[in-house]
Amino acid sequence: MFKKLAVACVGLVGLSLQAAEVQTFENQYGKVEVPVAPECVVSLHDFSLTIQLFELGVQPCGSVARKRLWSDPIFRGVQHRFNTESLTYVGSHKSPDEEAIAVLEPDLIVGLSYQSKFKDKLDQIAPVVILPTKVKTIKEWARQLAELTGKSARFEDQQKEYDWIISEFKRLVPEPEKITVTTLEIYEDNFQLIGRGGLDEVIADMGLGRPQGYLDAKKGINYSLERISDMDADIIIDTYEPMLDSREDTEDFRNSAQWKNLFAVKNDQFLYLNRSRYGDSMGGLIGSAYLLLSHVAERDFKKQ
Amino acid sequence: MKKILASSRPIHIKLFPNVSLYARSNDVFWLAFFSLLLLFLLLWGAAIGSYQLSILKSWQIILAPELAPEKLVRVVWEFRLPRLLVAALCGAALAIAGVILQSITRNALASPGLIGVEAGASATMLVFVVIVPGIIPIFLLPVFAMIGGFIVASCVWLLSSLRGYSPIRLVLIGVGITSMLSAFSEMLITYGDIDLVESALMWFGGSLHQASWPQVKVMMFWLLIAGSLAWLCFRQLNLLILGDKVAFSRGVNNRKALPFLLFLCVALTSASVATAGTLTFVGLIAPHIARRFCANRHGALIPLSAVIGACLVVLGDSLGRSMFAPLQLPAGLVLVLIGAPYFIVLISRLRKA
Repeated sequence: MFKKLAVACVGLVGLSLQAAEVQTFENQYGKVEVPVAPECVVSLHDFSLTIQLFELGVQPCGSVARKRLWSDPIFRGVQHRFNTESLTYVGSHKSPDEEAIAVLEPDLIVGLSYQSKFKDKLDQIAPVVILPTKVKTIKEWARQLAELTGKSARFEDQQKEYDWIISEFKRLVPEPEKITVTTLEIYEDNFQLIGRGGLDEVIADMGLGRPQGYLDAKKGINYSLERISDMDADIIIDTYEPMLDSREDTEDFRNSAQWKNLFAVKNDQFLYLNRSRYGDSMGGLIGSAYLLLSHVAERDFKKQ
Repeated sequence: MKKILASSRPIHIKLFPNVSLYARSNDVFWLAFFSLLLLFLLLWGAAIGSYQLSILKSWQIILAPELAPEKLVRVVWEFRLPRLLVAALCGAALAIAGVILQSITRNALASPGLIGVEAGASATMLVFVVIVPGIIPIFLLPVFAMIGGFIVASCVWLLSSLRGYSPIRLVLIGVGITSMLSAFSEMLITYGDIDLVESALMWFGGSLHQASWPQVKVMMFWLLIAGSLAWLCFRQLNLLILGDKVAFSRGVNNRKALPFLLFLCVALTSASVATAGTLTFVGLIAPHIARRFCANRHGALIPLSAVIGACLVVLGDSLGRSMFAPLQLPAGLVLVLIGAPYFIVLISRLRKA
């Protein structure tokens, strides 16, 4: 009798454990049944999701990457920070190879909002969760990713560190809105208003101001050199891409009279940062926040 | 075999009790040859990919899926087969559209891209992806691209036939409108939001990455309806290529036949462009290859071009997804890379002849 009871108890415990292995995850893209502790996660974006997974302590089994025909894949923003030896390349973020993903037998696939179109096909391999990377802040989708992978505690640590930097900045700079910052990316003969690696989110969280030309301009489109004076600010931040030799390629732009005439350039308040150093992740936010803390709050500089 | 190829004696094929077909033996031979080549390419394509499967195993999964593990059935039946079939159907549709256009314009350089369908579909797609993203669901984008293609082609036809139809006017107006729309698309690509533009660019390369069974059904529908109707018009096309006057003297009414043929061409092109993006190079090259085997006999030229077009796109897509796997090269890109040199050789040989 006792033996039978013990077997029944073990069975019940087993059943409850099995039931607990799956959870329902819900966000604006719908409900998905996902494993509580996924063992093999495939990321459909290296510069945001793959980095954030590593930062949370989850080693993804597959990830998209950047690749030229005869070169090795480059996990942008990942491989200089984490060991990617066991990370399998599964194609590009615009067309991930579903067969390469199927080989890995993942139990979870995570993608960005513009990758919703892949969902129907990839759903046949494993549950696909789309995260609101383009419509929500990094903090918000990173929190969702942490919940999804059971790493909320690690996320809370990241959030705590980030919040401290922001509060420290605000303590040192009482009126941050009076300091204007322009974030841009210079190409060979034009520029765009982009702040990667969470830079724009950090600037917003710190409460820093933006010049009127920047506020009026549309983001994500190319502007000619003529428009650069509209974007003049106390501080100008550009990023270079080491993979593309962009530092050398854009030298003419920075040697132009229009560029040299900018307030931030004349007063050595132009910051030139590595574009792939920080990805769009919590680590990116923390890194960018420390950079701004040092360059803005912990040094003297002139205002326009 | 030499006897078959040299023979011009027609073979009598009785399709139904009251329907007979006369075909030249060499046409039947080349049609059978390229059909077998297509079958081989499909079977080869089903066996290659990132998921390592032997050719024998792939064929077993195709023939007896119930005996194979579910995982492998999914790879072959859900990932590979729809993609291969969409490639074949799009290639066939574009090749037929190319034959029709080259015949009604009597221009060897005519291709489905000429009448603005491709440019219209591309511009429509870009408008909905870059300017007003999210206004229509993703799965409806191809339908809107198709509608855009139809509208532009209708404009080309209306403008070219306002003062009486002439092939050269159709070509020139087509080139003009296509250039205008291409400039508009370029502008959107250059000045549009970089993330939105990126997702549209993959489609422009002629990618079959998202091919699925519903798309196979849609393409099958268009190919069967429009393709069959085009084939039934082979006698009119045989006459139209000799000139409007000759065709008219033999009872072909240009005013009715041309808009109808153009409509078929637009239907075939826009269905393909909406499904697989810009692959229209196949519409230029496939009819030229087919003419090497059956000249301008449209009864044979249409099906032979269709089969050759299908072979080209299946080959382009299979190479594109396997050469640098898991990196996926768009079929349209591979097609141009392998097709253009062959096309140049083909045309230079024709000149010598």
